[in-house]
Amino acid sequence: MNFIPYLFKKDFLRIKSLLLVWFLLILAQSALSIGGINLATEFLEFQMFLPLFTKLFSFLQGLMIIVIVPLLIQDDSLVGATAFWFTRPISRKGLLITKSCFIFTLLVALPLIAEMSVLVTNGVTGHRILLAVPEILMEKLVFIIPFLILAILTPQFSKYALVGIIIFAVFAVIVIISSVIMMLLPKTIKIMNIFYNFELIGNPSLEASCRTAKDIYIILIGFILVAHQFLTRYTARTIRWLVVAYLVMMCFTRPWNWDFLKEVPYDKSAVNISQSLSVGFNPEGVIISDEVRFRKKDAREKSISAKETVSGLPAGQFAILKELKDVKMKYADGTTLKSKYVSTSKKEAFSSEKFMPPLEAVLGQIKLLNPFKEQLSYTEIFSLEESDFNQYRNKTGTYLADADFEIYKYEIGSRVPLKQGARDLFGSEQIVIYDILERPNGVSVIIAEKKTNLLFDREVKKKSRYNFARDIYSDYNRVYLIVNKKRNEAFLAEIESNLYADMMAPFGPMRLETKAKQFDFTYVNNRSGPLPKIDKEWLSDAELLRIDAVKIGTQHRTFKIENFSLPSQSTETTQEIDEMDRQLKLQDKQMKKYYPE
Amino acid sequence: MNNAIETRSLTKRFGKNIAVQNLNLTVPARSIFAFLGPNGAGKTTTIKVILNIMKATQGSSTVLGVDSKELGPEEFAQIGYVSENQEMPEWMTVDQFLNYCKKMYSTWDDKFCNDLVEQFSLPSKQKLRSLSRGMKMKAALVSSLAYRPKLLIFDEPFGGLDPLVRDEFISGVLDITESENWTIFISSHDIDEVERLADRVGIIDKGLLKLVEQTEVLQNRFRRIELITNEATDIKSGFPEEWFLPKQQDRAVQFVDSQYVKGKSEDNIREIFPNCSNIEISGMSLREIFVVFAKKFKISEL
Repeated sequence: MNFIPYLFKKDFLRIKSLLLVWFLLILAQSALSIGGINLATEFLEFQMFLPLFTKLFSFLQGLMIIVIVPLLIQDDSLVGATAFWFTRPISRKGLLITKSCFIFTLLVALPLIAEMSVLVTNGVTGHRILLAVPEILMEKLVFIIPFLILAILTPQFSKYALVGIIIFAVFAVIVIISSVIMMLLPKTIKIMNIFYNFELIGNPSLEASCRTAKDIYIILIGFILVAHQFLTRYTARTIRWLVVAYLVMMCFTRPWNWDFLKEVPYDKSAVNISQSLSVGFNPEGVIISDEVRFRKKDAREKSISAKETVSGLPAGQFAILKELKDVKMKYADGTTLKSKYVSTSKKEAFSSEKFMPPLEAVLGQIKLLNPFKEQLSYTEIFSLEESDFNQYRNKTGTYLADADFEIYKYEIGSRVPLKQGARDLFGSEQIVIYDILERPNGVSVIIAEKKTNLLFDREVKKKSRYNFARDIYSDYNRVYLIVNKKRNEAFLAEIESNLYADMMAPFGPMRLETKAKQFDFTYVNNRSGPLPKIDKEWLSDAELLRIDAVKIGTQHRTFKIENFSLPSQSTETTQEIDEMDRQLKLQDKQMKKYYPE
Repeated sequence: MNNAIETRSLTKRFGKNIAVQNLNLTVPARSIFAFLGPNGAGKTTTIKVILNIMKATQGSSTVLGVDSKELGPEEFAQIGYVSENQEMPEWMTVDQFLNYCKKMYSTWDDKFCNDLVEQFSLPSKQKLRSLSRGMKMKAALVSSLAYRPKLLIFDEPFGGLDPLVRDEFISGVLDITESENWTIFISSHDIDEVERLADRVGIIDKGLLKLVEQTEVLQNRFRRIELITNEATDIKSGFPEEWFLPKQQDRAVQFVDSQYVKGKSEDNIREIFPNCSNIEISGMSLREIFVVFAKKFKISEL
């Protein structure tokens, strides 16, 4: 007799209240993912709370799984000697099938269907929805399996919770202790290297590949362990296998370097990267500032910053200084002063004058009516202890540094007619125009940006799970314009306001990022004389353009500046360094300190 | 199949502790077998190994002719098991519980089930978790009887039951077994309760089986003997081995004859105590017999 449907029904009745909550949470999260952006653009008070709600619902769903799985499994416990089913005509195989079906249909397939519906409603293409399926399945199963294994090895919820808390506490203590040791004794990083694969941190696609391999392994091994426990109830052997499987996983992920999810590289054959690139910096405009000390006992340090100059790139291309290495000053008496680590991280908002020529190149015949005139921000070029600074300042020598540059070009990413409701789907992204608000001195355009970040989508750059917060700055590699093609005129958005951003799930980046933004285009406060009015007539032939900075390669160059001296004081009138730059530099230094290459 | 349960050199160890040692036991079909022993003697462990809930360390056992290790749904459909330690789906009402069990057995008898529910006055709409211990045991009993199993195994079924409920339980089991002719294996440390039921007893202590015998034969062969001799006699010399626990106070002698045969035993007594007068021979209850065993073989008392 096939008893599986009855067992299924029994389990359903057992946890029906929890399943109702689970179902409502999925429903609420889906509703928010579908309609949240509309609500946020309509009602400003929702802007901050809605993304928080999606995270909360997602977190609560995780919590529900942690509770539902043991209740489901331990209702027909697999350990001990008192479970009701042990002496009833219930086959072990039947029980395994029932519980697996239950978990798969209600805890995996249901949220999968919900998320697919969200993707469909958000206009994601069928191809990408199919790509999302294995990723969602993997994500759900990998989350469930540790709790499932814990549930099959414990007889009651209380023991499950106790063992779970102990395991969590042990791991947390290990992580905290190792982090503290690494922070206080940086030399121990080499020892920690035995356990951690630091290679993954700076390489999101390698990190994703390793994580995917690990996830597949967890799912396979997890299922084998669960099936073994159901079919044999040899608990001690299951635990032994679990420990061995964990150690094997640690061993194979430690040296992982197979990047099978690497993004499809940009077609470099179509781009001519100039070999005549020359670099330097303006020695007249130098800033000297004090480094921030993290500990009192740290020596006082000075930081020297300047504006770098890059020339020789073809029209349409521009370079961003990525890293300065082996920075030193050589003096005539043969002494060499080596710089400490210098941070080149800075917020390149793509709104300074440096970016205007390549932007105009991509626009061709279209005239940019309000180009930006902002000055470049500073780059740290040397860092040294105050005592060295006092000794060497004003002494003339040769400045030397190896520099890595990233070369970019602008490309038109999206082109949307400036009409309410107009939509453009391009690659993994879409832009929808929500509203066009005419103002006395211009126009405001409210848009929704939607982007899928799929693990198996090789056209999309992977996002790191370790540093996903940094992706907040990804917006800086794009600019929005409104263009009237008939008149060959374009306006850059002068103010960009984020109305809504739902980008991060509790444990990493979201598969479907949604953002609502408002761009203000103004024609009155211009700097170069009267501009044409952005009125109804102008707007009737207009379209919204998104121009993306696309990385096309890297270049290595050596800075060599003869007759350079570290000035005794700043040569610029202002010593104010952009606060964001400063913060980023500090973060970057910290990272470099703990995770050296 | 002549034996419902058979064990051969069955041994179960938990680390260094031996719970059951070299157990050879036979429970004939259609018998009511009382498996007696003090707490911790190894009764529950034996049952759990027999029913494949635990794995034997050594030896083997069969249930209804099938090796315990091979017991599957087909065999469990013919076995009823009630234990004071068994977990129940307590979130179910009595009705839901019996309906859930019903789906497992093709031989489930609705009328029989309803009669039992009525007989035990079970509240159908109440959740198991809200029932008293006695009521829960009754519900477990109904769920194990309603499909007319060939073998019923009770593991300490009287634990925590008040005397009235025990009586009801025993009467119920007696009524049913009389009409159904099932095999019943009942483990208990409560000899008085089992005495009314069992036609065979086995006594286990510290994992070792001390005795297996038909109740009637056991009770027939055990007699308490009290006699008065005319002169003081040394009972230590010439005392037969089958006479247990001799006691002497002046001219009064008391012992237990473990191999009593009417007539022959009296002749034997007169031969050993030629000057005796006033021989009193009385029957013994199972409890009394067990106490004798306990003292003779240093078994922990029940």
